[in-house]
Amino acid sequence: MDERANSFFQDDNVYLRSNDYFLRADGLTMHFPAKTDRFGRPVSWIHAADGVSFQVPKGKTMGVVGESGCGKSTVGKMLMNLYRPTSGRIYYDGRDITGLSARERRPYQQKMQLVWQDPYSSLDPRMHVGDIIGEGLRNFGLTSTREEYRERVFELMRKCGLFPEEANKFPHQFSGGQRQRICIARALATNPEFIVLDEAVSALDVSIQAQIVNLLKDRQQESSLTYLFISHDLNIVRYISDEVIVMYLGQIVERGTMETVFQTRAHPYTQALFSATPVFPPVPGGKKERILLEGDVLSPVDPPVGCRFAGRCPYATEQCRKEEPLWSRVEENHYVKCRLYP
Amino acid sequence: MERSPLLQVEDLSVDFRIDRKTTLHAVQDVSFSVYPGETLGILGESGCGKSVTCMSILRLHSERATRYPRGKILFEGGDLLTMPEKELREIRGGKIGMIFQEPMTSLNPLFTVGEQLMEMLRVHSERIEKRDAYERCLEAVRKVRIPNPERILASYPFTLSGGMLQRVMIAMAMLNRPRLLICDEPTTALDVTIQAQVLDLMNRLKEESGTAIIFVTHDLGVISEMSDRVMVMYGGRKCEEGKAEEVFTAPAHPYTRGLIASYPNPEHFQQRLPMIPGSVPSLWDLPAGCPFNNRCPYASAACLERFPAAERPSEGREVLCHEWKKVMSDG
Repeated sequence: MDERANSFFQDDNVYLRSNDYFLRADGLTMHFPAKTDRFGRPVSWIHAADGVSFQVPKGKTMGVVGESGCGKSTVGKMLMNLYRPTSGRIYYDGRDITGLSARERRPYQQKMQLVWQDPYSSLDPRMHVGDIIGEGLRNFGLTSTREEYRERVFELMRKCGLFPEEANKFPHQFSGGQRQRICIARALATNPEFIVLDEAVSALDVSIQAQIVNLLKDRQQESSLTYLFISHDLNIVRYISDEVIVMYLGQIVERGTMETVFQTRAHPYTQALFSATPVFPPVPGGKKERILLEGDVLSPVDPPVGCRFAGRCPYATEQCRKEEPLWSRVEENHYVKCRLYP
Repeated sequence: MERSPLLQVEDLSVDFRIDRKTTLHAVQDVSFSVYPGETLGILGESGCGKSVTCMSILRLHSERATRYPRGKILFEGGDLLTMPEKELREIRGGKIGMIFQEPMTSLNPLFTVGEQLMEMLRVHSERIEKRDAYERCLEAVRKVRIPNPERILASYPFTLSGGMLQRVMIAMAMLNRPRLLICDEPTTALDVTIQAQVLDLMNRLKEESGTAIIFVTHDLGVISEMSDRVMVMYGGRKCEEGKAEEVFTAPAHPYTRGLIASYPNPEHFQQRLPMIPGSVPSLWDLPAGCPFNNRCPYASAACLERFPAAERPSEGREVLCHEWKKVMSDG
C-alpha cells in the first residue's frame, strides 16, 4: 500500500500549483478497520479515502461529487479534525495542521466550520435558536458585552434570512429550510474563513434549495469565504463551485475547474455520472441516450488493485485491472486519472 | 383521448384526525384519471399530499384516524374508498401494485427474498404449487435483470444493496401482472447511476406489459423523463395537470413556474438561482383561499378568498388558478 501511495504523491505533485492555495490536502488517506481477528487486530480495512490531494484557493468553492460510499464525507471530516487521517497532511493557509493538539488546534477551529446535511438532527432541541447561533461567540469570547452579543446574534439571523424576533424559539418550531439557515448562521458566527458544506442542501425541497444556495453565495461574496461543497447532486454543484473533484471508491478520478470538467467530462465515470443525472428541461426530440453502468459500486473493503472503476467501466482493458492509472492532463487546469488519456 | 380511464379519482379529500378537536386536511378535492398504459407523474414538494393521495388509492392509511369526507376512487367499476376490506385485499398487490421509497424497510428482514416473493403469489392464487411459484419468481427476478437470480432469491434483504432491493420490489410488484403500478419516490434513496438503471428498467417493463404507472416524485428531472402526463400538487391541492411537455414548456400555474425556474439547469447557467420566496406552508396553518397565495407573485384579492375552480386552457389540460391567463401570457 505504501508503495502505491508514494507513487500517487509523486505524480500528484506534477500539477499541484505551488502557492495560490488556501487549504490544501496532501495524500489524505483514511482506513477504518473492517474485520478483526480474535485478538481485536484488524485483518481487513475499509479504504474510505486513499491519497486524496487537492487545494482550494481563497474565496473559491471546491465541489466534491461522487456517489454514496465514495469517501466524500470522510474527506470533509478529516479536514475538520473529526477523523484523524491514517496518512497524509492538511495545510491551512500555509501551515500544517495535521495532528495538532487540542490547544494548538483551537484558533483553527474558530476559522473552520461545518454545516451538516440533516438540519433536523444537527441542532440541539433544548436550546433556543439564538443561543445555538451565539454559542460559538461565547466559546471563543468574540463579544465582550451582553448588548454586543445580542446585536451580533440578531445581525447573523438577519443575514441568513431569519427574523431576530424568533431568537427565543426552539429548533422544532422551524421548517427544514429555516433550520438549515440556523445551521449556516451558527457556522458564520465565529467569522470563519473556511466552511465544509456536507450535503448542506440535499435534504431540502427544490424551491428551498435555491434560497439556501443563493444565501451561501451572498455570504461568500461578502467576506470571501472558502467553501468545500460536498454533494451528490451534479446540477447544484455546478451552480456553486469554481472547481470540482469527482471521487470514486475513495479516490479522486477527475479534477479541474467546473467549466472544463463539465464541458469535457474526461473520465468514463464522470461521463456516466453526468449522463445518469436527470436534466430539466428535457432535451427536445425525445429521451436522451444514457450511459448505463453495469452493477453496483464495489465495497471499499480491500478494494482491487488497478483502476477501481475498471469493473464497471465500458472501456476497461486488462491493463486497467492490473495497474493503477496515473494522472494525465486533459487540458489547462483539468486532470484525469485514466488510461484512456496518455 | 377517448379511451376510458383505468383509474378515476374524483374530488378525493383525506382528513387525518389528530385528536378530538383537531383534524388535518391533508388532501382536498383532488381529481385525476389514469389511462391504460400511460405514466402519470405526480410532482410536488414535501407535505404537498402526493404520498397521501397514493396511499389513499389502496386505502393504506390507518382506518381509525383517517376520514374520506368526499370523493370516489373508481377502478374497474368499483369504488376503492367504500369497497369492503376483503375485496380490496384482492386488489392490493394483485391488480394494483405499489413500490415505496425505501426498499430497505419495505421487506421483512426475517425471510429470504424468495420466500417473500412467493408469498405474494400464494396470497393471490391459493392453488399455486410451490414449485410453480418458485419458477415464476425466478422468471420475474430475471426480468428485472438481476444477475444470478437463484442466489438473490435465497438471500436475506439486508445482504443486498439498495438498487438490488428496489429491483426486487419492482419484481414483486409486477409478479401478479398488475394493471396499475403506484411508485412513491422509488428512486429517491438511490444513487444517480443506480437510479438511471432502475428508471430504464421501469420504462422497459411498462412497454412490455402495458401496465399504467403513477409515478410520485419531487424531482423535476426524473418526472420529465418518466411521465406522459403530469399533475402538480401544492398544499394538499392540485395545481395543474396536463401532458408533461406542455406543462413543462408552458406552465399555467405560478407554482409550477417557480419550481421550474428554481431547478438548477446546467445548460442555462446563471449567477443566481431564481427562487420562490417563503416556505411550504404546514398543513396545520394553511392560508385561506389558495394555499400558494402567500408566496405567489400573481396573487390577487380573489386568491385570498377562495380556492379557484378547475379551468381548461386546452384539450387535456387543467389548471386551478385565478390568474392563469396572466401567468401563461407572461411566457
